[in-house]
Amino acid sequence: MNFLHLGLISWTVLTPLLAVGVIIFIPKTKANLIKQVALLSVSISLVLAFLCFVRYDRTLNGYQFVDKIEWIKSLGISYHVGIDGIGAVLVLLGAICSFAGVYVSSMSIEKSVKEYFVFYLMLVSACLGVFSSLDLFFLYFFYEMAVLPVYPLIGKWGSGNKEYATMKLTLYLTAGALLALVGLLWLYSASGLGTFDIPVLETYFAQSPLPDSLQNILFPLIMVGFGVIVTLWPFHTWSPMGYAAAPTAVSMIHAGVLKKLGALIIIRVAINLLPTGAHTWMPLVAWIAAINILYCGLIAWRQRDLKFILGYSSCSHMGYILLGLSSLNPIALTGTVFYMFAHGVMAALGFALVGFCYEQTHTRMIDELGGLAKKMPFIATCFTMMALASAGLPGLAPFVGEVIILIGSWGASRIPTLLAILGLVVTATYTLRMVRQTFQGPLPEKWQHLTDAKTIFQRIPYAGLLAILIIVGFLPMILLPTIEQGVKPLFQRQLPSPPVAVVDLSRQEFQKS
Amino acid sequence: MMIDFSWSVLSTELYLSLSILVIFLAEFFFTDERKKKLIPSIASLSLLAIFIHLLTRSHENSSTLWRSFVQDPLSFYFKVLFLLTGGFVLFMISKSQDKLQKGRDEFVLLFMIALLGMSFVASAGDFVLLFVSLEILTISLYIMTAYLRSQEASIEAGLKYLIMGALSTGVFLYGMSFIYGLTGSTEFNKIGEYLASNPEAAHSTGFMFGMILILSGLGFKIGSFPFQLWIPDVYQGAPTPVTALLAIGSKTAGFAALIRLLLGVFLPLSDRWALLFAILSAITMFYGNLGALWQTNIKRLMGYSSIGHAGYLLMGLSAFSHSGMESVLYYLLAYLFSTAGAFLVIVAVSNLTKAEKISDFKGLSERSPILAAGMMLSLLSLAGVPPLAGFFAKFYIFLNAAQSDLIWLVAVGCLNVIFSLYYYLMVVKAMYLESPVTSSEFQVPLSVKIAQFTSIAGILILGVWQGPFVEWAHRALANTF
Repeated sequence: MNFLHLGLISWTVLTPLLAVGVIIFIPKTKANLIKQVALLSVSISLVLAFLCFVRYDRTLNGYQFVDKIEWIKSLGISYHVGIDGIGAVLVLLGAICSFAGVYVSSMSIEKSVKEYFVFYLMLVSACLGVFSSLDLFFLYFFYEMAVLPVYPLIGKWGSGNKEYATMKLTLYLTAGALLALVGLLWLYSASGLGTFDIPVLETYFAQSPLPDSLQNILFPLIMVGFGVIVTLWPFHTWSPMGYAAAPTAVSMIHAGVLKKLGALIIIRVAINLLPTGAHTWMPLVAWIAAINILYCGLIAWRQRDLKFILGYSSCSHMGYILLGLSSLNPIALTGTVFYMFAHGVMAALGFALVGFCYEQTHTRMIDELGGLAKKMPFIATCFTMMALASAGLPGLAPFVGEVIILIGSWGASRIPTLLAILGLVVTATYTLRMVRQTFQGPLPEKWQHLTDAKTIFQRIPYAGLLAILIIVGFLPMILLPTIEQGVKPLFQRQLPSPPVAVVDLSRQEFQKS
Repeated sequence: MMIDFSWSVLSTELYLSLSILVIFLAEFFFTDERKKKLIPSIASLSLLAIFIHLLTRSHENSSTLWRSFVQDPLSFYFKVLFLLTGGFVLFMISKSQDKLQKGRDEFVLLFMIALLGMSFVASAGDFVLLFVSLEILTISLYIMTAYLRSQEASIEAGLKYLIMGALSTGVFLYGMSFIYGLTGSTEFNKIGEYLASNPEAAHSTGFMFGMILILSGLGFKIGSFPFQLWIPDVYQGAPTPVTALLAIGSKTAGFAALIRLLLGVFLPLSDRWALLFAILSAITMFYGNLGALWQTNIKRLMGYSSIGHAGYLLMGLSAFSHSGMESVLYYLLAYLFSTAGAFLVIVAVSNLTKAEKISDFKGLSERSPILAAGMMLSLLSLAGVPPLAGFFAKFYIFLNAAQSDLIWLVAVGCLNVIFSLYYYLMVVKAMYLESPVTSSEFQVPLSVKIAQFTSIAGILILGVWQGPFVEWAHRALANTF
């Protein structure tokens, strides 16, 4: 389908931006119209993203739904978008979380609605752009474009210590991005090709890679630069504070989608283009991943603020993604991308539920909450299932991702894997304790007036996200073959990776079960 | 002997001079107050006419006055920038009329004269013409800076500017004398020919000394280290439209002169000044961006930030390549729209609050969404945030520095972007996150909205659709290498 010479992916990315253009001209008094326009645009994006995913042809190599428009010829910059298997899944994730985020926003945001949705839709568009970008310039362009709208979103519509939190978050993420920019520009000039095009660079570096010494410098620049948003320890401190201060929908999309932007760029650029550098540094990253899981998990254990628990828990879960990335084999990477999807949906659900409670109770402190299940059975159920997903219960999507990652990383980094498994226990402890202290037990007098999500419309975002977690948890073969198709070329192009446990995750095995 | 004088080559400047005369006569004969209000309109109409006329001459490549006046694609580029600057600043002047108690019309006149000086700078092919045109520009700016005679800050600013400016003029002349003494001519082409036939002359002490002195004189105009001390005080004390003219016009004029000199007369010494500019760029960036972190006055903040931007521009110069110079030209264009947008809002706000502190911007998003949005976009563009103009401008400069093996300078630049983001976000924070002192709504006149939309359009278009403008910068430099 080609509308105005632009394919499905371009329209998925650009529809929210077009909505921004429309919303700017709607007078600020017509809040409902603004919300409807926003919701319509992310619905269109969701449908298109779903179509892209369904129509992704697993028998073909290379990128699909490609659009390439030369942008600045003299510098080798072109508007080049397209998806491989990894991109297809992540664009779908982005669209799902965006839809849920806009839906939740339209239920809760009442102040300065116009500005809110302008910033939020820019954020959405930028995230989808990063996932589908095949040109380094536009990749960076969309990435930075995703970092900045968060400043006013948290600063104006957030709660608590929002000014400090949002400044810290913005400066931290921008610092990381600029560090990575040094690496990217160095990469560009070192390649000597004068192009920012990722497929061109891929094939070039496969045949004539950069010298090892240069790769060993470039890789950490890009890994740390983009790792900041993946809450690579010790650059994770922006995250819990930022998510705690952020309004619900912003936390949803930040924890659900933005963190995965960094991980994808690490795959697309650092691992793809700098394989030797990756092999040098990834063993260290595996240890940092283990620290992420355990350290952040133990801090989450100590938190008394619901959103801080979720914030630290998402930092902890990122450790699994980092562990998977660090293993550098097809199995682990497949698991990583699957886990990115699963965690994204789960994090969005978690923050949405906490937001629902916060709106009515206006407190996030566990000590003041308790017994909410009596008044909000639906929300409590969803929350319990989210907590179980977070802990890695089989039947829910994150389990599948975690298991595949651990299988893949077992061969590459034994002890960090063991520590990660230990982390599963830690996670289970604090998430289930969170459920017990918030929703179970006696109900204090002051919460007698709370109401549940009653109508179908109110329940859609929570039920939808939960349904996805369950369906993908029971039927991972919906996603896995597509992901494998995207992961395969990474390793076909490169030096052979260290040997891994021989488990053939071919399609036949999954189709049998 | 025939005078080599071509009416057509000099047409832009001649029309400007004509409009200056018309305005002069107008203020002489219009004694009625009501008629006096027409003068800014006369000025804007003539600017518009001259701009349209200039656009028809885009492909011209000729010289006159014995090659001391050059009209080539490079001068076309700069003249477009100057006329755009002129348009924005003239609008700001027309909106600040009540701040100037006396001599409002002479103010417009001085502004037009400054514009004439800038226009000649873009076309200067000879040191004497360059000197005279720089002086026309600078002296007009001295007077305009000190215009608010009842305010101590303004007079002090004018005096500081005058003293430091006079010093830099003397240095510039001294350098010129060395070059003249060594090469026998002040005309750029002749000097180039002399150096081509006597290559060792370029590396003689005298020539290098002359070059350093001339670069120092120009360094004052662009506000680079170590000639930047005057900027914060002068920017703060001057009337706001003059600050805008200083920030955009004077800086651009300095770079116009620099680029033409570096690619012409000083080309043989390129490896020397490339390294020099790299070091100066780093120090300038740090000075500007770190200095801005503590500021509470918006104009002083813009002063320090413009020092920072001079640093980025010097980075482009130090990446000595065709592409590097293109990136400087592109940056000046992006900088024009971003700074003009910011100053438009500062003028509008200071008209209504009578003060210039950042705290006056508190809650602007509720009192006037369009002004707050314009200010935010302008400041974030200056910080280098996509999808705004300043992002690609900085990216392009960093790219060229990386290509010239100046990775350390790119790292310094990136670090400074973080500093600058902090202080620009301070203003955004005041506008969007804090509540206003009084919640009265600003009534923003339509003309201000239109001016704001123009600057926003410039910022967005340059931010997203960079190709044609990169091409234009490329063509501007096509002759010079």
